[in-house]
Amino acid sequence: MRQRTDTGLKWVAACLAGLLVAGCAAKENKALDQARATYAQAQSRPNVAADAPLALRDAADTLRQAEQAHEEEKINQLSYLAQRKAQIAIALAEREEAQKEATRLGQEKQQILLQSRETEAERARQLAQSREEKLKSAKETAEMRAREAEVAQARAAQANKEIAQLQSQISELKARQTERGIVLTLGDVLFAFNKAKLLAGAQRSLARLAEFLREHPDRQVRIEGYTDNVGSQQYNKRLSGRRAKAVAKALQARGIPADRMFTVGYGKQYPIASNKTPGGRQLNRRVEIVILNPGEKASQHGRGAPAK
Amino acid sequence: MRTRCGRTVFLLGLGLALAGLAGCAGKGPPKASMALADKAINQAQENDAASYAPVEMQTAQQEMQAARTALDHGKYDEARRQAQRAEVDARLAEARSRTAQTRKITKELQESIATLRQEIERRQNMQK
Repeated sequence: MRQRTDTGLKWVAACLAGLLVAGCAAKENKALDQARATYAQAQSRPNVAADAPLALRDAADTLRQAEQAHEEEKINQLSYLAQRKAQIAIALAEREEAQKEATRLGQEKQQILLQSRETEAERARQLAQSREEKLKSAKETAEMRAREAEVAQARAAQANKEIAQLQSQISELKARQTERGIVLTLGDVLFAFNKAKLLAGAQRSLARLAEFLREHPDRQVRIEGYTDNVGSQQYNKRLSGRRAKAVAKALQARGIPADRMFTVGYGKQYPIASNKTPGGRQLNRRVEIVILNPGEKASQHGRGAPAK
Repeated sequence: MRTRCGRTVFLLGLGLALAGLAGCAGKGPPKASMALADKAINQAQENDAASYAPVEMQTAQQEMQAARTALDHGKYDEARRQAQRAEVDARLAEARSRTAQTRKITKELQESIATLRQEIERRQNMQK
């Protein structure tokens, strides 16, 4: 009886052991295969081991548990968990990879922006430099113009001064600025009555005029004689011409070359006052000395063709 | 001798069988597993997994729902299994969501760099 019981128990034990062995055999299931494949995939990617080592080890541990499990339900569960853990490891590694790429791109973008800004700054600097150069050149031009204007002004001032000088030197001759030039008038009182001879009173004025002309050798002189309307035109023209020539001769005697002077007798033409009064007639009897502007020719600045 | 040997084998087998049963059968509700799964799902949601890894996220939530249903019916083993699955699926959803977001940033940076390069080239051509 005891023997039989023993045998019975032995059989039960054998059955249980058989069940365990069967459980081991059932390990070859689909879920486990998938878990192994996914884990192998994770393992084959070097960056997973490098960037997600803990997650990969967790997956390995769970996979080992699945392989060591005996019940199908447990194997399925552990395989599922192992496969997901392997996928998590892959995802973490991929994120790390993307993160590195993002960092690299961020630096690249910064570099480009920096370079662009430097280029922009360089361009602005060049623009400013070119503007400055233009400004400098404009300033120099303006300064040159100013100097030229100053020179012109100085020349004009000099010309005015010359006139003033001449006027003060020969104030008796009533110098005045006209469009023909500076005109001096020698009045009738400086000549002998009805003669071309200059009286002593004219000498001082003529000396000063000669001095002025010597100082300004670029100016030529027209000497024009005029009379009142008393007497024939022929007589008057001859008298006025002779008086003009007398003035020219006096100036020549004071060192003014003859070719700088041109004489003409206009007679009673171009009166400056009425011939109806003795005073007016005296004013009309005169010699006008026209000091031409520099460079002008005395022979070409007459008062139109003299009448017959 | 024979008998003793047989008894030993028997006891060993019985012990193994009991141990196997104990391993499978949890004692009481799987509070820890449920809590871990809940935490993993919350963390995934905080990382916009619903937008960037919707399939994984849905799987995790369905498993969590299944775990709760099993718990309500007193099926503690089933509840534990579903909770464990929900946890790993939620963690996978979170990891993939973060990866997708980082890749999106990478793509945006690439586009921005390309635009920048074009802009610089255009300006250089304009200057020439």
